[in-house]
Amino acid sequence: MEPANSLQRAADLALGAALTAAPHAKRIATVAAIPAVITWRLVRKPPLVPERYALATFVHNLEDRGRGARLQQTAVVLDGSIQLFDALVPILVTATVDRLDIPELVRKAVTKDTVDALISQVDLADVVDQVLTPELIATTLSHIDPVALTEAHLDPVMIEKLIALALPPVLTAALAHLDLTAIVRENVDLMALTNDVVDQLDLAGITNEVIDEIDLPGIIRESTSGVATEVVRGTRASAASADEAIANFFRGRRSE
Amino acid sequence: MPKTHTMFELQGKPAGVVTRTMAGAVDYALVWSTIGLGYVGFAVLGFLTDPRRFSWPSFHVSWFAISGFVLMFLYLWFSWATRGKTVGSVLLGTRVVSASGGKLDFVRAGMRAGFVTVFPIGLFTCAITPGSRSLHDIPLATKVVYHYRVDQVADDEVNQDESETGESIDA
Repeated sequence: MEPANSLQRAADLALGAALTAAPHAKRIATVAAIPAVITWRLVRKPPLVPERYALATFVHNLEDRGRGARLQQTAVVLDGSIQLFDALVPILVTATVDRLDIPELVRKAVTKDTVDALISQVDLADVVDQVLTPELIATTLSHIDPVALTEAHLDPVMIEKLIALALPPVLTAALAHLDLTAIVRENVDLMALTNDVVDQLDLAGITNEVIDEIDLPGIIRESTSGVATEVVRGTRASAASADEAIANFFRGRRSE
Repeated sequence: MPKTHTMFELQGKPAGVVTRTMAGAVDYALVWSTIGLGYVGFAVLGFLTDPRRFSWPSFHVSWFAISGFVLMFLYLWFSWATRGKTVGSVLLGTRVVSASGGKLDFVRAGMRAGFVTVFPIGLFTCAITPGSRSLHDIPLATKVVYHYRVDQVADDEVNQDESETGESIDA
């Protein structure tokens, strides 16, 4: 056996003791724990000592104070971190965006194929069905006051322009698809309508007015006079021509 | 074929035999129609006064002739002494004037009316005499000229001017 110094001998002694005690450690610990627990309980809450003066109460108060300080400091640190984050994020994002060519990135990322692929994956009808529910439409419409909306945004001049632009083509298209004659024949009592109109017309008065406006005697006089004048002029011309013919005839005979 | 003259050209010139004959025919028709109407009027008057014993009036033909001549004479006399125009003259556009172109005086108008009534056939001599003067015109120094209404002559003048303008353009 080689000689050893004192430190090594102490260590060896402790190790030997430990190895010797190890198999009996659980038993020893069990045996020793019972009086230790009892002792610790007596120390924490000694009998006949008011609770506020007990060691447990003192320890508990210390724990509460420490917990409060810890939570307070945590909140302060968290607030500071958030403030720091709020201050830094805009700066960082701005700097980042400045260094990025976003249009170029979008051009590279958003291609026709990707858009087509996205659109092909979206069921628009389903989306519309899900978003535009009858309840939503009814609720939205119930909040709209058409009269107030019209008064607020449409002035009379604009309305007139809209009507002038929209009404003619709409009416033309509508009339092109309608057989007005058939509709009137089926739905309108033409005889009753005609009777109403005739009842409201003063036909006798209108007839008298028309007759008064027409100068029948004058017209007859003028036409008759015109015809007679033409006959007389024609007769005179014919007679004068015959006069000259006879005069020429006898003049020729005399000259022979 | 004779040239057709306008009223403007004929105005004031001696009227020919055809025109004067037609005017005379109108006057004769008018006079004899008046005689006929007078006879009918006389008969109606007789019917109204005594319808039961009505019968058509019976006159000798000489009464008709005398009435016709008298009526013709008075009619012509009055017409020529006033305007120088009978109804026939108005229709055919003629007028009886003196040799100088003025209106006939009362005596000469009466003498001409009597001459024409008694010897109407003398009218036709105007076809062969210079200046279209009839047998009545020569001794009484009268003549018959074309005389149309002023407004008709004016219309005819305008028409003639337009016609001549058109011809000159066409030429």
